[in-house]
Amino acid sequence: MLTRLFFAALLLAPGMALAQAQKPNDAQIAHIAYTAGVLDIAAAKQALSKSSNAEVKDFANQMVRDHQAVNDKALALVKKLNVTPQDNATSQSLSSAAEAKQAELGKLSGAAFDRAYVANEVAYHRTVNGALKGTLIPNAQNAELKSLLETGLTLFTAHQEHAEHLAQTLAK
Amino acid sequence: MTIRTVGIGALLLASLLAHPAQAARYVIEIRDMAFAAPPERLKVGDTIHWENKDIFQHTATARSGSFDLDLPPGKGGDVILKKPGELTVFCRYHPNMTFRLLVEK
Repeated sequence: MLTRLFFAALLLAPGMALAQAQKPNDAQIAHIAYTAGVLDIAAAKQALSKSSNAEVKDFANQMVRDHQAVNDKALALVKKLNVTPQDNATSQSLSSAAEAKQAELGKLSGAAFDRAYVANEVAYHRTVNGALKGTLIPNAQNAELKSLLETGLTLFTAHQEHAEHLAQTLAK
Repeated sequence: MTIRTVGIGALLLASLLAHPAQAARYVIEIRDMAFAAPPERLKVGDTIHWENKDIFQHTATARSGSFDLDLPPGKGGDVILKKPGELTVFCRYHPNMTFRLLVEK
């Protein structure tokens, strides 16, 4: 349920979702980054419950593990900085898009599900990387938050490459 | 008895002198989803200590299957290089993290 609109909104109108949060503050940036992680974990859990492909499951397990690690770190950081993550239009559009995508994927099964899940993971990570590079990292004021976002970008880039590779394998 | 003891002592001493000089221990850090550059010259008997400095779970896994170390965040592990040749090492969780080691005799 969580991924479709997300994908649609970001792919069809990539400027729109993020334009609403032009110059987001650190509390909003933290919220967006955290939300992006939560949504990818939800998508991975859906894949773990629906897929029977070992490679897809390995990938999904990796998403859960890595995004949870980043989010744990993010939570610890906002606590330390005494910042309350602030909900915002970007987080909301990410969530509603993801919800729709998850509903769409929910109707698929077998290889069709695997391909659609992985294709969405490629697009999702690409979109989030774009947001990190173009909006979130440049606007982050706190050095530790910026550094965590940069770690996130490195991670997301690796995930994107992994997903692209997996998509090619599944297409064969 | 005495001669034998001395003999063994000499052998032990000789091996102590010979081996520690050869075997080295290297530390390779994993940071920001990448393995640090491996040492240029590695020899059979050398130890590599992998240290995971990331907040993510990694592994140091030989493509050949000769070793497979689980490396939770902040943890490390040792591998003693047993065979000469080229080794491809990757992370099972992040297969695009990969690098090569060249092990000399």
